[in-house]
Amino acid sequence: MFQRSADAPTGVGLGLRASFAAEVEAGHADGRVPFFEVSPENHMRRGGIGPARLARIAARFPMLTHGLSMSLGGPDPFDPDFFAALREFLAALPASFGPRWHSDHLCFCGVDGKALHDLLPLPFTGASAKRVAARVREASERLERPMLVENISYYMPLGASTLDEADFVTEVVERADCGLLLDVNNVFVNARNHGFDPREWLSRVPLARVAQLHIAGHELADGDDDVIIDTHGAPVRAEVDELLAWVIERLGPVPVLLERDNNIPELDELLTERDRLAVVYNAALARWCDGHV
Amino acid sequence: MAMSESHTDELADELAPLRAFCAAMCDATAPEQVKADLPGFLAGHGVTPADQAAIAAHAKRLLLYRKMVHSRLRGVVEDFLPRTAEHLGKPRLRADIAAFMADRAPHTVYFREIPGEFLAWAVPRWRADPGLPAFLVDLARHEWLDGEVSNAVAGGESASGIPLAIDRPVQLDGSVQLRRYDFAVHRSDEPPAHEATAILAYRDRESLRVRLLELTPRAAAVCARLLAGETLQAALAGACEELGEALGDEFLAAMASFFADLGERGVLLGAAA
Repeated sequence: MFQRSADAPTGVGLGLRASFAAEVEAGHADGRVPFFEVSPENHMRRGGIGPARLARIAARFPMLTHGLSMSLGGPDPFDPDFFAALREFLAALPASFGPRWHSDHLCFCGVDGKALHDLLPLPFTGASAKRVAARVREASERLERPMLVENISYYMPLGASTLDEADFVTEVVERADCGLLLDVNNVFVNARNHGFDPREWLSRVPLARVAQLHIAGHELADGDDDVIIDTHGAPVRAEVDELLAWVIERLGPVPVLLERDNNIPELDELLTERDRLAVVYNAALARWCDGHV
Repeated sequence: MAMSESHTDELADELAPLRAFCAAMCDATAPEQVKADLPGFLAGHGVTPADQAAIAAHAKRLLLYRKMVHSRLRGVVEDFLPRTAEHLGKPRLRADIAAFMADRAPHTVYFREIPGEFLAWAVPRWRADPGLPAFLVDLARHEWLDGEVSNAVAGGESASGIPLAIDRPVQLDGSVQLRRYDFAVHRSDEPPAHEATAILAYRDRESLRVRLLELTPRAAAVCARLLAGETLQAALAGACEELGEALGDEFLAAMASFFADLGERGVLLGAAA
């Protein structure tokens, strides 16, 4: 059964973004960030300043990897060239802990070779879970490392569901025997948009398989639809802090990644938000420790 | 056989909503069809009645997804081609992204490569459109040049160690690109001046920043031939013929000076091995 690496980094880390990578390289995050997460697609098959800078940062910080375009739920066969390049990229990162996993999303990204560059929802059915789980296993074998799959924000069901989302996620990770990258903000966003209790949802997924958390900000959509969108473009909201704490109290120490992809503030401001979340994390961790003494 | 066919049918049924969803993101007339008759749109893409019923109430959300997908693509085009996007204007860019999605859609999984795929699709259409500024294609190609050169996998190679020889091709840094424009789009003048221009772009091997050299017609003609793999002699002779010049001392002196500059910049790396 999947088990998370005992020596993986823990605490609240940041997604490494081009807008502040030079500052990180210059040492502005030293001692303040336990790890960074990087999206390989932004660095693979690429020369120039980005990969050179990443190599220097990866030599100083533990680095988690999180993919954007594997289309784990998609109908197209995996592209061997993409996987070869990804495997090479992952192997080139310093081995700061092990076995080091790679993560991607429980979604599809396109059909018939079209790459839509978004995280699109899957049908919540047993057949879909079985098919996706087989693809997760295949991805893990191709990469020669464990996979984590991340629960996404979804804004509509894609067909008649025979499972709810929590059951679907559980079915996939159990069948694939993979880890779960639990995006706490996505749970909150989905709970709000689809009208369910996020804690009840969380109590039904296999927390023992959770190797990493994601946390981010969400925003109300433009227009007259009362839907909140996982924009990664705003600070994390208090309600999501609470959910994060709830999870940490039950899970103990894990890497928690603060994602920010839009309206990215200055690094100092982002570090301040990271520090605030670290207080939430540490307080919850102390409660977890009390329960385990 | 029957089991296999049944399995195939089940898989087709399972994947039909994904295909329909993708069509809703891409097809030109999808917004109107989705608003008018979502079940009909879904049925047209093979979605089963049960799945149609589950999706039918979510036309607004389906179009929200379409808006998000198109916005993200438009955003990366605006990031890489800001002046081009400004000249096109938001409504035209929005329409062109929608047409690109309907016609082809991105196929690269690398987000940064989308503007290149979009341009490959858009350039012939923009050239044929008399309503657009004549400099637009040059401007877009020039803006994209920065993305291409800065991210090129090639570049920074070691010098060949072989002295330049008249009967051999040369080795240039792998990031080098030569562009010819009808407008001086490399300057910030708005609108760009109508002026034949040749630009050599390369990635500086120390700073890893893109550097641009505005080339004389002579240098451009020689460079184009060297990049095509001609020997130094053939490149010089061919350039002179192309420009209607004699291959004399003055021409050779100018090219010697040009090659020396390229060598100092780490662009010219000796004779090819």
